[in-house]
Amino acid sequence: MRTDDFENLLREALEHQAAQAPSGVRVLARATRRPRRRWWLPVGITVAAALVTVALLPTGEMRPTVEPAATVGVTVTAEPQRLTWEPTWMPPNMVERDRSAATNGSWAASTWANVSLTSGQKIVFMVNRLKPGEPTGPDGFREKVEVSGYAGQWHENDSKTNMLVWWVGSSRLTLTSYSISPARPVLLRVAESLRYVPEQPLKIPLSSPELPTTAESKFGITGDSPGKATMYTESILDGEGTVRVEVRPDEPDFSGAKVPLRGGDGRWRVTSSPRGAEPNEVLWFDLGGRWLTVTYYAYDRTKSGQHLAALTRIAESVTAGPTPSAPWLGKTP
Amino acid sequence: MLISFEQYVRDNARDLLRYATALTCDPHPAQDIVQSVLLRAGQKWAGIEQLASPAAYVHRMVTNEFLSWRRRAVRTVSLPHGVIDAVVPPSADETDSVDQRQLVFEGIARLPRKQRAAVVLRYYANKSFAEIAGELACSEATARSHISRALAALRSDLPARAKEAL
Repeated sequence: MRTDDFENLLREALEHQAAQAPSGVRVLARATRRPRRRWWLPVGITVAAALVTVALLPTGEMRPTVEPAATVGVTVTAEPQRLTWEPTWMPPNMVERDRSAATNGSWAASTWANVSLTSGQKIVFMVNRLKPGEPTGPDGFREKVEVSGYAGQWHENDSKTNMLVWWVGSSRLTLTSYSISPARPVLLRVAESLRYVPEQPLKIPLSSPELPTTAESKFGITGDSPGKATMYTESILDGEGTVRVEVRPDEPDFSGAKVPLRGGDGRWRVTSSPRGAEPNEVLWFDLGGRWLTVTYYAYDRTKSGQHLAALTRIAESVTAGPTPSAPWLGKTP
Repeated sequence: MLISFEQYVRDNARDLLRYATALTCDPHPAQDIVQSVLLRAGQKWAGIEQLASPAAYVHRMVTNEFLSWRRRAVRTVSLPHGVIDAVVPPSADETDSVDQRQLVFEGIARLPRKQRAAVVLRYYANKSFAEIAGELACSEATARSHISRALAALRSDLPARAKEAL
């Protein structure tokens, strides 16, 4: 019997048991509203006993005023019995803006940022399922650190990017910070706040048989708030660029040429020398309140060419269901 | 930044109840423990809120309350199998994984109090050995020993069939 399998089973059992907790939050909140007069202390025991008695009686009929925290977490594979964790602490103003996973189930990640995914401070938490033969502990070349009793190491990548890596059973956990200084105490605190949560797989109803599946393929949900969730899937096209298919709640902020698409009119924009994170090409179509976009990012922007035919094939083949609820978007832990 | 007791309860009561339920293996004494702790915490909140981590302090109060309740034997926290079955109906899911989880859960409920607290702190609250030692007022070596013995007991409780399945 593998130790990490047994430990996962133990976590499952404890989480399942914790989920049986009574929902007496309103009762507890009432207990806090009692007057706190110090001159009552001599009769405090009597008051406390009375409060406990009163508080306990109506529990079964009360509804909690505070809903349980969303427990959708980072999941590792599409199989049951997965290891799932979520942070219970993040620096102030950092909210969750993205959850993604590899299509082949090898990793899952959540991204927290204070401004946006592309600017400001950011922390990415990733769980990798170790493949056979992959290291199960520190490499000995970097500074060793201990995270909640597990062996890990510290990566000082550059002045803006730092990484904390540690190993738990058959998983490698990674926290990467961007533009956070000092990063080390922050990442250690986030790491130590991680809590095992029952698995709730990240799934999106978005597929395209024309979109190639590679080892780098991934999918996810992103946005600033639950009402503005975008689901996406991403893959590599011909080894020359990334194609990203999105179903988003708002129309792309571009102007584009009219092109025939999905039995109607789509829009296509191509830029020969895009700036920064701009895509080279965007093809979009109104799905009726949501917009389907297929974007292409060339690795070598000087050789981007045009990919309208390939993007059209992908867009024509997309099947999209309702965007999943993502109550965690824009929320602090 | 100081936090009011009312705000603390709003933010943490649910987590405390979950933690206490994992500790006691029964939601009813868990609620009693949390109620009792919060009443005492509220009375001395002016001091608690000055601490570096009021949440950690109250968490420790819950752990201590669990341990002392057992010592005082005011309530029986070790549960007969019937009660456990009522909390986690075996009919809810009959897959092997749930069977194994149920066996582990029953094993947890039979652990000595400090071992159980150490296991819950380690595998539910995700605490380090040093933090567990602090919470249980023992050395780090003792905390590791509690967990090691608990894991050995839990493994030995599993029948051969479940061990093979794992």
